[in-house]
Amino acid sequence: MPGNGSDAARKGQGNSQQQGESGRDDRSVAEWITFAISAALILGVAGLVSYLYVSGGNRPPIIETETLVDELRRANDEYYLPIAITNVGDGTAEQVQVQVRLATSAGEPETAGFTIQFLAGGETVQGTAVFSANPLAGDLAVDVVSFQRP
Amino acid sequence: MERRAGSLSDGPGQGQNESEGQGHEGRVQGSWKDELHDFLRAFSGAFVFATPLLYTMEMWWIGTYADLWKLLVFLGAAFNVGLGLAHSGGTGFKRRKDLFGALEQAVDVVVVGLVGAVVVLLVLNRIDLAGPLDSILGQVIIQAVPLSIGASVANAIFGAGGQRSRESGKSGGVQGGPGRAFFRDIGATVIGGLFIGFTVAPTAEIPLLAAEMDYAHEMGLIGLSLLLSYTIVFVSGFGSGQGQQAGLFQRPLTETALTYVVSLLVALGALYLFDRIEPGDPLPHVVSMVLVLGFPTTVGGAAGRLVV
Repeated sequence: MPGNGSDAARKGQGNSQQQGESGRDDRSVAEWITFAISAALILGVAGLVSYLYVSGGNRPPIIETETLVDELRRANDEYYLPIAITNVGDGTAEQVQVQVRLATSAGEPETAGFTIQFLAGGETVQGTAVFSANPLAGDLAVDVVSFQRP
Repeated sequence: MERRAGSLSDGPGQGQNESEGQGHEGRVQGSWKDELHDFLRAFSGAFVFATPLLYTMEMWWIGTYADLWKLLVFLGAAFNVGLGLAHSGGTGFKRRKDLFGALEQAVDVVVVGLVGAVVVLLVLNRIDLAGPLDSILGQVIIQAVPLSIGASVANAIFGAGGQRSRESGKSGGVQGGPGRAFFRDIGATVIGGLFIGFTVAPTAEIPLLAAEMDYAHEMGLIGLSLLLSYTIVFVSGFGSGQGQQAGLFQRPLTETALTYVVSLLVALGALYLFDRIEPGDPLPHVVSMVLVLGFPTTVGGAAGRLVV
């Protein structure tokens, strides 16, 4: 075996069956390429997280609502109104409570509401409010009334 | 696999080097096929070890709101655990045990964790690639930690080089005939499926996941379950003896399909016993629940076949 004796002996102890006859590093092209790709992937992920950490803001959650009137549907004399809730801030909001109030000319105003479990910064989640009156025919108010910080 | 079967009987003796270096079929050690085999074994170890955590909603949530610097810490922790386990020897999924080999394995197991997390979170509809990037990264990195630990201990799970073949089972199979081998496999699948399935079946994650699965995700989950079942049993676990087994149900593809069906039945039974489903429930809901729980029971069932 070429190489100095102590080196060969050290290698021979731990990985004799792993080494080729030279006792030196005999990694194949396949092993080097997979190692390079793996290392690049990890560095890429770590770099991406670091970039987001450095460049990202730390604004608390800011929550906006949008009623999706185009997607309003009617079934069994009820009106289903989808509402998109977006967190335009950076921090995550938990247990986001949304209340929807529909005032029509006929009778008492109707209220509906739903809770969103988690709303990450930049995330949009859709909820649906259900009314017995047509929401397009009345005054609709969508409010985010509360949330928690995780 | 052929080469593995040869290598597993080889001790660390120096006289084995020559045959080891060339391997069967004249292949060179460290070929693309070996690399693929190593990675598949790492993926198998990852899912056998980490599946219950993949089905833990707190893991998904923490990922969405974890501070970014903590994600880097998690990533570093996964890498260091991988490095420690690889350097300590005996537990890794690779064959090399020198220092660079340990580094190589640590890098590989983290990648296995990351890729495994992306695949399973996509299939389970936990991440949406159009969603916020930091939330996706968070969920992936958090899940990558247990997955990479599982990959690191793949050798401990499957035996170095995949020698947890049916060497003992083989003789038993021959003695009892194909019929007995068949029923032993069914029993092992049920036991393994219950082992992992029971840790997940009573939790609220199953209906939660099932409710958010659509057709594409269900198809993806079926595909992933079958692929993992095959990989765990026939790539990671058994050596070359598999193809020589007698009997209809000892063929890899038949067995994989059969294992999946048995695992789905285990999932169906567990869901019924835990009052998660009952007769009269809408069929799509039941199918979705069974498929969702079918993934852990399949992983457990496949692993169980290696143990029992």
